[in-house]
This record gives sequence, C-alpha cells and structure tokens, in this order.
Amino acid sequence: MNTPGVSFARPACLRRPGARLPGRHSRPRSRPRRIAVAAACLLAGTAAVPAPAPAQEPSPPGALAALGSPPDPRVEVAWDRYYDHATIGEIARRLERAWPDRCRASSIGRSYEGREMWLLTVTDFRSGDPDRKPAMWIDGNIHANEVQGSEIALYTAWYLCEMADRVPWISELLRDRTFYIVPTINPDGRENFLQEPNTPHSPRSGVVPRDDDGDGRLDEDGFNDLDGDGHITQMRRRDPNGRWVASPEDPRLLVRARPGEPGAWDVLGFEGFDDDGDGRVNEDRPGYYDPNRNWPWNWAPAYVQFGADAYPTSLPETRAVVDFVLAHPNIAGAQTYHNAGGMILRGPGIRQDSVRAADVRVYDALGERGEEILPGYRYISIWKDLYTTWGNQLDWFYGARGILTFSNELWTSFHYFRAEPERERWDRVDYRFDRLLLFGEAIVPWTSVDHPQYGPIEVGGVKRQYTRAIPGFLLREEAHRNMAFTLWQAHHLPLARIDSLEVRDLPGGLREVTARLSNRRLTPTRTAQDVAHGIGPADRVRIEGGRVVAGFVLEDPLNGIAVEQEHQPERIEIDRIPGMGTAAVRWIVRGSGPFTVTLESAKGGVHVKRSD
Amino acid sequence: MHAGKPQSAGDPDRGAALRAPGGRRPLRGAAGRLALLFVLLGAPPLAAQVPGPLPEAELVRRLDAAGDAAAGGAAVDVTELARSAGGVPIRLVRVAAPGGGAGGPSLLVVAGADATHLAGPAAALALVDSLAAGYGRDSAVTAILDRGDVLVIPRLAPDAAVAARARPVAERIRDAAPYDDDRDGLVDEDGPDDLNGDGLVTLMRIADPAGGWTEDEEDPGLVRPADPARGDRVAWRVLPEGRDDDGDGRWNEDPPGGVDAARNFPRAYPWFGEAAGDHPLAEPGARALAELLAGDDAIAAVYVLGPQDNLVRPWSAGKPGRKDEAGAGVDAGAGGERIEEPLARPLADDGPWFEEVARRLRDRTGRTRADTLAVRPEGGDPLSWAHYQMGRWAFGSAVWEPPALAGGAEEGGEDGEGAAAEDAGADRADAGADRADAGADEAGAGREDAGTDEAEGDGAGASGPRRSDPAAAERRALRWLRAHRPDGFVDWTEVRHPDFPDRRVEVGGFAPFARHALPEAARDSLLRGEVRAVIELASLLPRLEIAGLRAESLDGGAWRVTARIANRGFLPTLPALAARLGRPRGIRVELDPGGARIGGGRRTVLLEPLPGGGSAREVTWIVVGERGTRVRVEAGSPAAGSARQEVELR
Repeated sequence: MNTPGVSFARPACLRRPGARLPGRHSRPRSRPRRIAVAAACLLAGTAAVPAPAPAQEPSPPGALAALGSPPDPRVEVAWDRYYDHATIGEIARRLERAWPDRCRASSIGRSYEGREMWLLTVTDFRSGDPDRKPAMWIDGNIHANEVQGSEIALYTAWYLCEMADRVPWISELLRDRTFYIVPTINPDGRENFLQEPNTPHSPRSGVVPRDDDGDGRLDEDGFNDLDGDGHITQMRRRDPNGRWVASPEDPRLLVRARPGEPGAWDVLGFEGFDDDGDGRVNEDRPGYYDPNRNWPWNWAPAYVQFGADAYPTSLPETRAVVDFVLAHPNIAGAQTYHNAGGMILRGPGIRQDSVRAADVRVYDALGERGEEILPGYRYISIWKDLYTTWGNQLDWFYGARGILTFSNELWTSFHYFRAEPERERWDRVDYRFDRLLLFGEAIVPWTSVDHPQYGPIEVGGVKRQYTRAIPGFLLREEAHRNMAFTLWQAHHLPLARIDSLEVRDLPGGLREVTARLSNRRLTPTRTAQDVAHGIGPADRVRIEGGRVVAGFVLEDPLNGIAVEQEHQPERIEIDRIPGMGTAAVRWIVRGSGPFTVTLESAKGGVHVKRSD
Repeated sequence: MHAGKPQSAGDPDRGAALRAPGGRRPLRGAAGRLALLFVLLGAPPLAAQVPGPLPEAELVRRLDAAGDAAAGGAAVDVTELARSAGGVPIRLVRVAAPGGGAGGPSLLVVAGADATHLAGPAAALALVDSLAAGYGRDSAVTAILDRGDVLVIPRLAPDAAVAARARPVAERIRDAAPYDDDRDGLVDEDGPDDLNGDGLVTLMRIADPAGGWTEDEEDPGLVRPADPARGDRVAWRVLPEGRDDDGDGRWNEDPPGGVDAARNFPRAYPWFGEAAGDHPLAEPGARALAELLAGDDAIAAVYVLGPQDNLVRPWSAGKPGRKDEAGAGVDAGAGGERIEEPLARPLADDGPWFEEVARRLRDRTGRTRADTLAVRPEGGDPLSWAHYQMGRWAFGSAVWEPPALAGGAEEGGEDGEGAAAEDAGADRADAGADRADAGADEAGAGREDAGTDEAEGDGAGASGPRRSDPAAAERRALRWLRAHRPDGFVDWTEVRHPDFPDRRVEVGGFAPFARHALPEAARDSLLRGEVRAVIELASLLPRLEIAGLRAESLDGGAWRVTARIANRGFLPTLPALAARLGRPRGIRVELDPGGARIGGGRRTVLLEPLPGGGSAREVTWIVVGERGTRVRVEAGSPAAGSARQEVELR
C-alpha cells in the first residue's frame, strides 16, 4: 500500500513563489499564492526530527499542558489556515519522519493534472499487519471549494500520532485499527480554489476540461477578477430602476427593495465578462462536473443527475479511490468530509435505494452520538432529509463495499453565535459575525471598476474563505470535534476476538474443541449489505493441531445446537459476528493438542488463540 | 441447458499474460507482426469439428487482407484501442474515403463484447471487407464513406476468445484478469474439467432425487429445472462438467478469468452478478469503448453485434401516460419536464425513429420479429448503454439464432397464427431469399412469414407459451442441431466421478459454441445481410446543410440575415435524449458579420436536434453595416456534419 518511489516536493518556501507541480495543462498563475507560501515556511522550521521522548513535556518548560492538545508536538502545524497541495504532502512527510512507527506517507494515484493523491496510513506499525486490521477511511475536499475536510483529515493523523503516548485510549486505537487518510481526493480542484480567484462556491468541480455550454470549446469563459484582489465577488451597477438597496443594518449588504420602495442597484452576478463573445458571462468555467456524482453505485446519466460526467469513474480521482478501496477489504468504516451545513449524512442518496435495517441501527447508534459530539449538527439521511443525489461517493462505499460511511457537512451558522440563527436572510448573520468578530475582514468593500460590457460598476462582497470555509480561530475546534466523531466510529469498528477455547475429551480418543467468539463493538464484522451480496469473504475460523473429524457452527450456543459444515471442516465459515454480539464454532478432532485457532475477518481483524 | 444455467463454464488456461500499457498504436508494423506470432505459437491445436471463436491470428490476417484489398480505394486504418487484461490488442478499424475521411458523422460497429457471440466478429470482418473493397466500385459504399467514416471494433473482448481456443474447449466469457468469484481468498482455483475426455466442457448430471432438475418430456436429451406443479419428477442435479478442485463442496465456482465485457457496462449493470466484475467499466475493453464514445462526438450511431437485439425486438416509447414495469413514466421528459430517474424506454420523441429504423435494418438483414429467442435482456450491455447513457442512435443485431422447425407445437403454430406478415419491400424479399438458404428452408419452414407484430408498442416481444417456457429456446436449438450439426450436442454418457462415488453421473449437453456458430450453408448470406444493414444505417445518418441564406435590407444600413439550417439525412441530428444529456454536442450556428455589427440576436446559437427528411429551422440576426459587406454563417454538429455559406449585404 505504501507506494515506493513516491517523491515529495521540496518545501514550498524553498521553491520560487508561483512554481507549480509539473502537470498537464498547467496554466500561468494570475497571482502569487501568498497564503500557502507563508504556511509552508512556518512548517519548515520544524524539519529536524526531535529525539523521541516517551513523555512529552510542555514547551516551554514550566507551562501547564492544556488538555486535548499535544503539549510539545514533534511536528508543529498551525491549524488556522488552508494548505496547498505541496504543503499537505510536506506535512505528511514530516509526520512520517517524526513518527515512523505510526505514520507512513504514500499516494493512491495521480490526479488529472498529475498531482499525487497523498495517503497517510496511521496505525501502530509495530503491532500487526496494517492491511489486516479493521480500517477507517477518511477523506476530504471531493468538492474543490469544500476545503477544510483536508485540514480536519490531516489534523486527525497529526493528533493520533502526537497523542498516542499520552492517551492510552488512542494508543489502543492505533494498536487495533488502521486509518487510511487521504486529505484531498480532488487536489487539482483544491489548488484551483486556493490559487485562482474564486467565490466561496467555486469550483465545486475538478479541472478536467469540459464543454459546459456545448459550443465545442473547453473552459473558455470563466470568472474574471475585475478588481484584481484574488476574490470573485459580486458585481453591482447603480440604477434608479434597480430593485436592490443597501441594508440599513450593514450598508455593505444589498437587500431587496420592499414593494413600493425605490431601489438603487442592479445585481449583475459574480465578477466576470463575456470572454468568448457569445453573449453569456462565466458560462464555461474550468471543469465542470460534480466529482461526487461520478461513482458507480446508483450512477445516473446527466439527464437525471447534473454533473454525473459521461460515465461512472470517468475521473481519474474517482478511479484511484475505487481501486484503493477494492484493494483494501479491511476498510469497515469511512468518513468523507464536505461543507457546509452541520450535517452528519448517511445514504441512501436516492429514494429507490435503501440501507438495510440492521445497518441502519448501527448508523443510528453512531450518528446519534455524533450529534452530541458535534453541537449544531444533525444526523440525517441524504435523499430523505436533504436532496436526491445519484452516484455519490458514500453510496458506493456502502452499496458496493458494505462500508458504513458518513459524510459530515462541516461548519454551520450555529457556530457564529452558538445558537440557531434566527429565521432571517442567511447572509445577515454572516455580515453581523464579520462586523463583531472579524472586524470587517471577511467582506471585500465595494470598489469601482470599468466593465468591458457593463461600463462603470462596483464589485464587492464575501471573500472565498468565508461562509463555507471556517474562520481560523474556530477551525481547530471544528477539526477536533469532527475527528472525535470519526475516532468514535473507528473505536466501534468490528473487533473480532476469540474469547475462549474449550477442549473436552470425547470417547474413542476424540476431543471436542469449542471456540467462543465475540465482537464487543457496534459495527458487525460484516454488515447486512456484505452478507446479502457476498461482499468480501465470510469470517473464517481455522483450527490446527489435530485431524478434524467434523466441524460445526454453533447456531444456538446456549442449547448446544450445532450445524455441521461438511466440506473443509477445519476452516469453518460464519456469516458474521454481530455488533456487540457473539458466535461460536466447534470441532471434533483427533489429536491431543494443543490446538491453535485463528479467526480471520476481513473487516473485523485477525485473532489467534492457543489452547492450554 | 442454459435456461437456469447452473454456473459459468470456463477453461483451464491460467496463463494470463501481464497487462500491457494501453494507448492506441498502429498494429501494422513490426510490433503487430510480433504480437501475431506470439498468438500463433500460443494457439494449441483444436478438434476440427468444434466451432469456436476466430483465432486472433486469423482476425489479424483478415484485417491485413482487407487493407491490401483496399489499396488505392478506401483507407483502412487499424489501431490499438486498448489492451485486454491478458495483453491482447483490442483493435479499432477505421474505414474512410481516400484522403483521410470525409469529416461527417461516423458510425461505430462493435462486435465481440460477448465471446460466445461468434457471429459478431464474423460480421464485423465481412463489413470491413465489403467497405474496403467496395469504395469506388459499389455506389452505396462509396456514398456512405464519402460522407463519414465507419469505425469497427471486430472484437471488444479478445481474452475469452483466445482462451476458448485451448482444450478442453469451454464457452468462456471472462477476460484474463484473475478473480476470486467465491470470495475464498483464492483466484481461479475451481474451473471446469473435461471428465469424459472429449475435449469439451459440457454439463454433468448427477442422479439425485433432491437435485431439482428433470428430463424434458418433449426432448429427453434436455434437462430443465423441475416444476413440481407440472408433475415433474426430480431426477438430477445439474452442474457444469468438472470436479470440486478445491474441496469446498462447490463445483466449478471459481473458473479462470474475471469479467465479461458484455455485462460490464453501466446501464442496468448487474451488481454482484456472475462475471460482472466489481463495478461497471472495470473491464479494459468496456472501459476503452466508454472512453472512445465519450471522446468522439462525431460518432452518430452505434451498431452492436451481440445478443441484445433491437431489430427483432425494437425499442419503443410506449403509450403516453403509462408507467412501465420499472415504474418509470414511459412519457418521461415529455414537454421538457424533468426526468426523475433513468429511462427504461426511449423518450417519446425518439421512439418512432427506433421503430422505423429497426424495421428498415431488419429488412436488410432478413431477420424477422419472430427471431426473439436469442435476444438477451438488457443489463450491463453495450447496446442499450450506447443510447441511454451515451446519447447515440444505437441498434443491435444478434445476426442469427437456430431457426424453429415448421409445424412444431410451440413455435410455428402461434407465430403463424394471426401474425401480420411484415411489410416486405423488394430489398427484404431479396434478403429473405438469401436467408431461406439458412436452414429454415431446408427444414421446410416458411419462417419468413412467421413474423409477428403483435408486440408492437408494448415491447412485450414474442407472445405465447414461449414466454413462460424457458426450455423453448433450447428445444428449438437442439432440434436444429440434430438436423444440421449432429455433433453440436453431446449425448449423455456415464462417467465415474470422484466426488460422487455412489451416484450415477452422466456428462453431456450442448457442445461449446455449437448453438452460436453460424451454419455454413447460410453463413455468407447472413453476413451479407448484416453488411447491408450497416450500410443502410450509415445512409440514414443525419446530414446538416445550410439550405438557404439571405439578407433582406430593412432600411439603409440594416439587414435581416436569415439562415435556414436543414437536416437532409433521415435520422434526427441527435436523439432527443442527447439534448437532455448535453452530449454529444448539438448544432452550433455562428454568424461572422465581417466588418458589420450584430444589432440583434446572439452571435452563436445552439439548436435543439433537427428531425430528418429535410426538416429545417431558421436563425435570424439583424446586422448593421456597410452595403457590400460579406457576412458568413457556419453551422455544424460533430454528429451531423458542418456547412458554411456567405451572403453579401446589398
């Protein structure tokens, strides 16, 4: 799984500002990426790996460690900004260097523009085969503009590495589980969002060129940054017949004129002009498809589902994730981060599909605890409570691979004032928070520009880091709470165990060996979806140490009702061990022992026990 | 017996070559010859009487020969579309008019997605031959190639075909990628075995009163699932011929190979189905076809040679206002309304075209609407996918199925009774005559007259007891084989089976490929029929023209410029569905006003699909400029061609 030969870029601060990773269709950048370079330079100061210290002491000496934070982390990362692709790779490499027994960095494939899709494998590498431990998949940023999932995924890897020595619960988690963390599964789109002028909502797509307006040309009419500030905001034009006026609460905000009241402004949409002279503005931007509608399960063509693209897995990034998950049958739970709205989503995405009842019970138990961990978040199902989505990622994870998967919609306006916002125009609370807590930083003031088609106009409004991405001082809390939910789920991945081996003498020199199995976690070793469709292998219990005469599944262990498995009795197959449940198998064996019994469960792990 | 087929057969060839890098490369150089040599050396000898897929080397030789025959005429360009899982090139043949193609809409012919469909590659090669040799000699061939290219994939899934040349011969459908069918952690560990030493993998039946199968009362050679309600006596358990190689109590449950390309397409994909793979388009050939269609909007129509057949069972839009079995409105999308879920039938605007073109193509092939037993339901297939997800006009022919015998209680009777003879034109009579040689005639059947149209509009297909009798197709095939190809059915003989030491075990059943091989006597006429159908389809493709361009002077410096955009072809420029999909691209009309200014109207206008038969739409601009200015209009669509005209403002 750790791809050899993956090379990492030099730290971003050592490269010429504006340098790009080699990739197809690289385009000259319009402006230096100030934010990312600053971030990378901050990291560069911690390049040297400190000597391992079993008990971390607060730094500087004399400080009192705050709880929930590593007091002296080997890898310093500022969790109050959004990192570019090179820096994400850099953080992954630093973690690997600082915690070689806990974190390995590799790549699951390359994006359309040739960027590595970084994978951090986090587990206790000294204990067991990482690819046979029950595993949790975590990714983010499938929608290019929904950036903070990447930071939250990275924070998770960092926190696990840095805290395992302090917190036994985490050290056990790493002993028993593997985390496959891919901070961004749309690295090209992320780079576009960070480096190009954008709105908070653009691009949702990746950047594989598509002809959105059917004119035979690709991506020929995107936004134009008219005032050169790196943000795509709104355009307005003074017009005595316009129907918009400045809000009395905040003059930066336009609101509709009341009926009968004169207006002052026309609203002309996002910054841009008609690049291709077809009479339309911004109608063929980089991309445009929806990477979260490109997955094979419930995929539907574009006449049903906007953004589906031509066929399922048409995008290289989708394909890379599909191939990785197929190659890792130990993945038993998953989280795929989005923004925004404060939701803990589960499938199905369409009315015509369903999650099996037994699996819904597990989802509910996890999701309801999630609502407690994440105040302001609601645990809901997609088509029923949100909207219909065909071919989304989490439906493929569950439908095709039987993996219980949540998608957290990060950030909710609840967090502005730790209260449900009043029922009012959504942006009034954004502007109020900006005035009271960000002191006006989030909004570009209206500025006059000359528009090639519209003449003198003004541009201004919400910066792209606002309303969906999280203000820096709140990002770490959001990361920690969401991580806590995924760790809760990871804790409740199946854990297949042999509780006991009982050996009894039978007449004729035979012995009866009974193995009692348990799974003291919420998730079954195989979901109902796995069992119904034969996804992955059945759980298997093997015995060594004697010649097996007969083998049984104990269907009713209490009353000793055993059902024989006639073929290959030395390797008994069971459908699953239920969540918080047990199972038992029995053999009649010729031999004196000791007997070694091995329980192998693709999603529940491997456990070996020897009789006395 | 394949109605209720127990498990797939396979073959013992486990030597899967490593996957080679993809990319399209010309095969006619030294590399191609090397590949050919490799295939030649790798092909073991085969029992002469056993039909089977065309050897890869023979396919390459035929393509080379077609290129040679075309020298000076059509351009035949063979490239590598992709490599199969087993490293065999998947070939794409482009036949074009000399000088590099006409630039008009092209037609794509796909064969050999299903390795058991032997007729497909044969028809595809016959087509390449006819087009290559016919340019400049045959007026119809010359006409279609002068307007657009014909692309042919003679074998989309070569691995199974290559493997099926090995002994014992099995009807293999899977590509060469190893696969763990039974999820036991091992790949390809329990395939079929030749128990009776005849070099063939057929079936085995084990005497077992709980086995669930019985002998067919009409033809005791056949076994079929027992129906206790009919008083059937259960006598047999039926499995593919072979041993339980891995001792897990299941027989031949993990045969060599992985995925069947013919069920790996995303429309109605059979999730978790046998040989379906882990997800749609996982199979390299299927994936390559998806990339080809997604990347080439000039492909206006697709003709699939395979077991799904919408010539004999045409798609229709159904009656407005009704729901079909899947619960989807059959008039979904009418009047531009939102379509809520994937369609089970064509849009109302597209349905009549599918019905009419199917009738024309069917007539060309000589098939009739009674030939429906071999039609496999849609699901994971390339044919329905090409329309419903890729927005193309898509037609498919099974080419041939074992004909019914005259006077049979179940076939001839109902079909003939009350069946409307089809509206047979002169072409069809011609095709019918060819087809009469095909064997139906020998059997004394007036098969051509047996067509039934009673399913019209309802999509119900052939009616009568056949629908409820899954054994009918096999009975028909067996009778035909007994009359024409006696070695096509292996009579049941007893074998000793190590897994069933105390039971009677017999091996027998249809010989691999026997039911799928074209009858020699009719082979040429059947293939000619398919060639005629493809040429017909190419001649029906849309053809965009500017049928008129005028500039009316309004007053002094203003003109109204009107372009009349027409479709001179038969088919609409695109299916209505394509406009909903946003692909392929539609018609774009652009005015270049020269030195003048556009005073009214958009410079570029996108049009909805134009119906055929000279249907036209007018696009108007107001242009302000100097008298004497020349303005130019260009109209084009990759799938319908392009045109330009100029007019002077005066």
